[in-house]
Amino acid sequence: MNEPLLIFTKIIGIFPLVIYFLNKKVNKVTVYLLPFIFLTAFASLYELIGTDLLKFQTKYWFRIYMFLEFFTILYFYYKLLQYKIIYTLLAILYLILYFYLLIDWSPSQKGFNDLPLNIMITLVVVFSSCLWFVNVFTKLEDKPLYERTDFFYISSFLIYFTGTFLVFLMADYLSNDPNYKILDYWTLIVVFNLILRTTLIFTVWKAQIKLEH
Amino acid sequence: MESTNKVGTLILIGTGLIFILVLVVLSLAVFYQSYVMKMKRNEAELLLKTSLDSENQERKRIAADIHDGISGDLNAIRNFLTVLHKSEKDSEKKLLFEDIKLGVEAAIENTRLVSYRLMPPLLESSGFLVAIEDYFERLNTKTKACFVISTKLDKFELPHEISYELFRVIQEFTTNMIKYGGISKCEVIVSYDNHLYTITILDDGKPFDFKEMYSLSQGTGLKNISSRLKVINASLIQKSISKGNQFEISIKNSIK
Repeated sequence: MNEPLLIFTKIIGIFPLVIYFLNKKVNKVTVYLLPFIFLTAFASLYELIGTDLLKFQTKYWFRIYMFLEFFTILYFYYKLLQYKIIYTLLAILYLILYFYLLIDWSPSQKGFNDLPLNIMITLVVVFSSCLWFVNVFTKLEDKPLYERTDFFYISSFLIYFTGTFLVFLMADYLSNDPNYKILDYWTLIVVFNLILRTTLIFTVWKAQIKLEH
Repeated sequence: MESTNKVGTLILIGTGLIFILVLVVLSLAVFYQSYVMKMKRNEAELLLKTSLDSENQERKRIAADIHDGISGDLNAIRNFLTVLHKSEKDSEKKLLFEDIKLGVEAAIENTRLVSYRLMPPLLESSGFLVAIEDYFERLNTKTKACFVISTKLDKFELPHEISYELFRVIQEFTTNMIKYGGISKCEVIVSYDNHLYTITILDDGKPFDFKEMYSLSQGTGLKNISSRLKVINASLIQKSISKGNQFEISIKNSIK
């Protein structure tokens, strides 16, 4: 795996949070994303210090991260789209699935055993993005999409989760097969992470100066 | 080994395809939304133009009705009163006729004013510059502020409909200046260069940000200005000056 790219991606994960706090006039949509921005910054710091320097076990962190990632994203979509019942049901469904999979889970086992969780978060992102687009075209507000911060957030999530879907889907297969080096495919996830974090930096910064008040 | 390569290649191709597909969908959404917005805006502009046109026609009709109808009748009454006043010998009745005559004259003046406000007669007969000059003369007699128009142009060649909208825009600006600006002087400079008419409105009143006030939806005056300028494809720029406000209206001359 490309180490400099990985370290660079981890470092830039802190920037959206820094820019967020430098931003004096943050728009509502960016406030909804604050938990995810916090999580991204914390994950970057943890992976840089905890995993790379102090060599902490990654499997626990990966499991906790998945849980937090789902709920921060769900919170964003819930606040943005205001479908209380749908998102409460999705949260309950995810909790059941998560704890059910936790029964069988052990940090010593090979592979990730989180395929259903990955499928669920990708489906939630795709479903919520569709709902958002339906809302946009129903309301037809007089503002182009490329000037809306929420469009950039929605697009970056859609690109990240659909782009990494196949690698996550095949993660267990790749890690169980000795012919594969899973880290080679992990570069794809790093690249999509880089796209997501760069878009976040750009959008949080843009929300500060021009797009919305 | 071959199958392992196949799976790896499939993951790469699949991810690439998904990525491209998502990008295509997002681009389509952006283009479609822009297209729908453009259509919606065109439709709104057309509606606005139609409503302003019909408002213009209606103003013209009412102004003509008042001028030819009510004003004519009142003038006839005034003439009758003059005749009656002359033939009457009773001093008490004479005083009464004088009072009625004064009332009728006030009514004639009021109807004239209403008719003028509805449609300045000079705008159609003598053109934009003369109508503005006349309008400013009227304002100068009624207010403490001084309104001046400066131009080196002899004539203003824009079509009547455009001149009318520009007249209303200036009227709206001056009304705001008197109402809220607390101005002592306002100067309107009309210039023409390279097929472009520029109307600069300068005042020494309280400064305000047009865009900010417009977005705050305070009053219909600014919205009125904005929609009228939109209909005639004119642009409005606010320039920052040390005291007061400066606005620049630019409009292309389509008559060559």
